[in-house]
Amino acid sequence: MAASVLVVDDEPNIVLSLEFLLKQVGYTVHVARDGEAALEAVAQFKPGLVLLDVMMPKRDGFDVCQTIRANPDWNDIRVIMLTARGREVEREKGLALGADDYVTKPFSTRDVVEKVRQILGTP
Amino acid sequence: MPDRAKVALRIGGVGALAVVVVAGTALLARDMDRDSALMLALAGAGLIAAALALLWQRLSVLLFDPLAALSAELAAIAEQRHGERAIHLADGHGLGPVLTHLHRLLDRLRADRHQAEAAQLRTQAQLTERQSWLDAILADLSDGILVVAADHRVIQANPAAARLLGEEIAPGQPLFALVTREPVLHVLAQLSTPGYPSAKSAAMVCATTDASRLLHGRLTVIAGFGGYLVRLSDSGRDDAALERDNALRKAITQDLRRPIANLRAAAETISTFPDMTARERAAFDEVVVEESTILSQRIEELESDFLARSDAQGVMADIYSLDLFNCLARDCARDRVGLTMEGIPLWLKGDAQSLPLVLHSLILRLRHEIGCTSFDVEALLADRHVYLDISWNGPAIASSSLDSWLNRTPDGSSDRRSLRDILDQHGSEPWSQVLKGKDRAILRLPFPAPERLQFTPSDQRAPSRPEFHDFALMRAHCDAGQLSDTRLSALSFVVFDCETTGLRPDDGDAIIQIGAVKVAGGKVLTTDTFDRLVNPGRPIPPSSTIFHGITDAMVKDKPPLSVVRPQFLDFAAGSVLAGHNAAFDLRFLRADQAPPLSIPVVDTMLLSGLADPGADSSLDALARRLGVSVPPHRSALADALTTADVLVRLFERLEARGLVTLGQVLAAARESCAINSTIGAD
Repeated sequence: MAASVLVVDDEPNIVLSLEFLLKQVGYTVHVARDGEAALEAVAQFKPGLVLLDVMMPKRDGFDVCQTIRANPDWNDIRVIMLTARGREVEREKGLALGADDYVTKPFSTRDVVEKVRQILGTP
Repeated sequence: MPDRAKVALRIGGVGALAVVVVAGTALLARDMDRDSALMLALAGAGLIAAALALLWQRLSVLLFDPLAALSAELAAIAEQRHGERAIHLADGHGLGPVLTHLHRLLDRLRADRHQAEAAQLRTQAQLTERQSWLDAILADLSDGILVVAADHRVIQANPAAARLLGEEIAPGQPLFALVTREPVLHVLAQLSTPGYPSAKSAAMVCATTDASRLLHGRLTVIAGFGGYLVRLSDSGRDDAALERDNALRKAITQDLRRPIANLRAAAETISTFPDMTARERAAFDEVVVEESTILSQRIEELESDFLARSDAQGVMADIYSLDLFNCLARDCARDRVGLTMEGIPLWLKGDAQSLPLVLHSLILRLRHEIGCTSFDVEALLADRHVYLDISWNGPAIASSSLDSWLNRTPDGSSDRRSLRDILDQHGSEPWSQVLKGKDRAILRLPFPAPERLQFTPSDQRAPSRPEFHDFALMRAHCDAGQLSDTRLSALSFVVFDCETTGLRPDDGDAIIQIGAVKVAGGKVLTTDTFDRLVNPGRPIPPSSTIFHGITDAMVKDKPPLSVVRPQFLDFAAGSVLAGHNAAFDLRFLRADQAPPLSIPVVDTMLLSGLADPGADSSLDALARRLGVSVPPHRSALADALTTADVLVRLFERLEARGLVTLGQVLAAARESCAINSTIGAD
């Protein structure tokens, strides 16, 4: 399962691009549209990495990240947070709550795919 | 014939009579016997005497009596400031036109006096009128206005100032009896910095001395007067402008980023994979169209928001964390929640009205969630922010709970904005985390750092007072007694510092200020302080004022050391005393013929020698080495606070070297005293 990525975002348009690009590189890609669905998907698929949007309905990205980090079984899961809020304090908050990396929208999809490749390795 | 001619004629007549009588007597006496000649001479002399007496009587009537009367009249007129009394003399005097001229002179004098009095009355009326205008204008202002002299005493205050500060303000009252000292001195120092933009006015936030509220204000230095004007306002907030401001901030930080992110991702995908299927390509084309439309709509909204916002007023100002915490502690005390302040106070940028509301609401939520009724609060310097940390014993707060708290409006306030909106205005994003290696958690709120310097560079700080060491005296305080085996972390310390009129208590120099702060459990209890001015009973030499800024006027109405010393010892009761070069202060404390103190005293200067042998042991140098911030203004309390922070950090260093109990530390200090005394003796 090391080469699977969970993309969590309520914006279908960004999910379309990320899903397409990551699949092209060769990763197994799962998609969730909100925080609760994300935690269900984590439990079901145990992905190697979660691309996690911050602003989402139901449970937000910080909440999901904190929940993932609170579960010892999910220690190996890496989390990259995505956010449209371009503020330094949120980066600090994301990293303080256990994210491995933090990307601010708008981002280069190439950079995000490269980050995923650095963390998970080439599939 | 004029009186003068009559008098001359009479004097001439008497002279001629005398010559005739003497000559006649001489002629007649030749043919007479001796007795008859004697009789004749006597008769002649009698005749001359009678003529002289007549002449004198006439002169009295004409001159001497009128002159005496004139003198009395003039004396009476001179004594009488007002009134139109004329000179009255009996008729028949011989003073002639002198009196006429005197009357003219008097009339001229009186006319001048009337003119001067009229001018004075006019000026006074104008002044009264202007004062009434000023009073009316000031009374009508909703902002509090205080005119303050250079010695920080209030010259005039308007009713709004009294209302904002919650008390009547008497002229001459010290400003620092009404508001906190640090923000005012900070802004004054800022305005007097060479090279500071020529503005003579700067924004500030200060707390009332009873910590009941934070007030926004502006301080303006009055050129040529030496004093300054303080304008205080309760709420400068324009809610509509703030809402627009929030909308704009949200647009810039989120709304635009989403469509651009989506658009960019789609564009990059299309360019990276030109060979995708027609069906895949159609999906991406749709994304491009949709997101471009959203983006242009957002930009139009943003433009209209931006134009509408141009009249919005910024309400963010630099707030001193100690003022903020004091107000917060007071609010929390009403809800039976205790706050303990830690660390050195810092400046942060915030809205003085809404920030205490947010913090208060969050603390009430925390109490409800964790059931804890006492919290520590501390301001910390981060790279680009100032963190406000609220800490407690227990687990961290889940992000989801914190989110739901932030969606509420502040407790007990009419503010319609949610806590999140208010924090967004501050660019803040709070989170809760567990402190590594401790059973404590924090709620951390990052805030923008102020534009001003946190600390005035040390070259602007008053010079350190010259240090005189008395190692022999310190040795007497190096016996830990019953506390010998108590660990440092379990002890309560009172760290103190004194300001004095000079360096020699034996020559009459005395204490003028005592400042102290408690340290317990390895933490500086920033609000548990002692700060008193002392009347030294002698003038303060200007040469010492440059070190501490205290003048005779400031201590004039303060109690003497005999009153303050027991108050200080009460404050210190149950704690171990500590100070930097404490021997200096101890000599002054015992100088007042009071019984000598025989209690253990920890000297950070001696501990500095244990931690870094040979290094500069002055307080400023030691603080810099240990990374302790040095406050800009020297005072007994400020130095005590710095020393307290130094003490806590030195303990960490000493504990690492195995010195963990008071006995061990004092024994090491005693050895250090012995070595230094020997060196001193050499």
